[in-house]
Amino acid sequence: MNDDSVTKKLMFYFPKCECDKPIIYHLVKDYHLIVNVFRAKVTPEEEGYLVLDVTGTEEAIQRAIDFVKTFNVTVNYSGKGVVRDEERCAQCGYCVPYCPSGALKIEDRATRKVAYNESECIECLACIRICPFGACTSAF
Amino acid sequence: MKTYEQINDRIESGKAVVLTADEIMDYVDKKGLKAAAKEVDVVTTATFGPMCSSGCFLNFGHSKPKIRMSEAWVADVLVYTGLAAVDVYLGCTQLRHGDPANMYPPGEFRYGGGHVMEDLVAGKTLQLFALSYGTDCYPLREIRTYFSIQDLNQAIMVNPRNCYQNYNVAINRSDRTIFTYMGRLEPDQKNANYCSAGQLSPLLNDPFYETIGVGTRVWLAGAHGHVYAEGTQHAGGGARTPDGLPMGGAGTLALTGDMKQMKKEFVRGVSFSGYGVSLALGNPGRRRDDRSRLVVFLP
Ligand code: SF4
Ligand code: SF4
Repeated sequence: MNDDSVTKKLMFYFPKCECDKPIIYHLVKDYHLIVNVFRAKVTPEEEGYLVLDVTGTEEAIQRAIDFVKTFNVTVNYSGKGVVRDEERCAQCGYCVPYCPSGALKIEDRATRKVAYNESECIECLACIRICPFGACTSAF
Repeated sequence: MKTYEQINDRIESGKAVVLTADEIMDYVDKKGLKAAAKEVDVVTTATFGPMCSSGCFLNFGHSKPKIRMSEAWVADVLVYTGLAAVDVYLGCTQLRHGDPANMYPPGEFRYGGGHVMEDLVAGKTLQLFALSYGTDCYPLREIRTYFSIQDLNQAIMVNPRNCYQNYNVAINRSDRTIFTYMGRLEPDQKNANYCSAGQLSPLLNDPFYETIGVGTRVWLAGAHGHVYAEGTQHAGGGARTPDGLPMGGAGTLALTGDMKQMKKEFVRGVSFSGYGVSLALGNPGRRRDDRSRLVVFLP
């Protein structure tokens, strides 16, 4: 990979899943991206969701996104497969030891505020099961 | 040393210097205890956490024809009706009817009494379903109706065991995960859960109950409330450190307040997987604009 390569977390939403099209294959083969899929799902209504990291040059990533969009796909650039409702979060800290990636962490030892950095989330869903306040939910 | 009158005068005239128990620590470090005691009039304390003994009395007013409810459910959560005709008591750890509980462990415990209380304070419309055996004076045998907190005559929160003075840290030394009221505990002491407001905590700042007692006015979840009795399981006489800090749970407070005045951010239903439901309750002691009367007077 070039030195100017960047990694971006993305979420793709396919209103009508084009499951027969090897989209990821094209991202690798035609756009030379390194792809790391965290989570993918096809619902019974054939909607499709995909959360992944792509690594490549800014330009290659942009061209790849333009390609993906030709499949009537919604691209969410902040990659929010797991959402935390800031109002519901009570900053109790219970989720922190369960988050394997450090996306949820005590940001400031004095205030003990729990920060959520979604770009570090690997979508393991542990926080959704553990949060007593129902603050963490999955987008799909 | 200031008198209560002097401090109350300064509060009335808007001149009182009010700091949270968090802020006073830094202040004393900077200015010294003497200067801080002179300058600061009021120190507010606070808690926020699951208070499993929370509940509330609700009065619905009379239907036409009247009913003496003998069994009732609010949002499918069973409430206690062994009271006067249309009074009910709702407890925060009561599960919703039909909840599978721990049938497939660990259960999720998505909704219960604590969540009903949160929904009430948030102003949501909820269902009341009640049955009765019928009497000459209360002939109606069944009612199903929808209401919000504004429709009630009274909604009065009661917490017979609140503000534990001190509390254990929970760990698990066994070799399997256990699900407890202190949360999920991983084997071999992989995590440790505690529940205390630490240096903000009301009774840790008043170890011998010199300023907080029966009748003390408190700011309960944003509403004016009172300490109405010693809390259940209050046991202030146990072992203490040389500084007077209790080494066990020690003191508790029984609190009450008007739920109609409460703010929804401080009244929150909680679900502990594998254990059950409860209510997390707080008061806004962390706010700088707080004028809470739950006070610890400095010497
Ligand atoms: S467990 Fe839930 S409420 Fe507690 S800090 Fe984590 S996200 Fe916030
Ligand atoms: S889903 Fe997993 S990785 Fe992401 S924030 Fe929750 S616990 Fe952390």
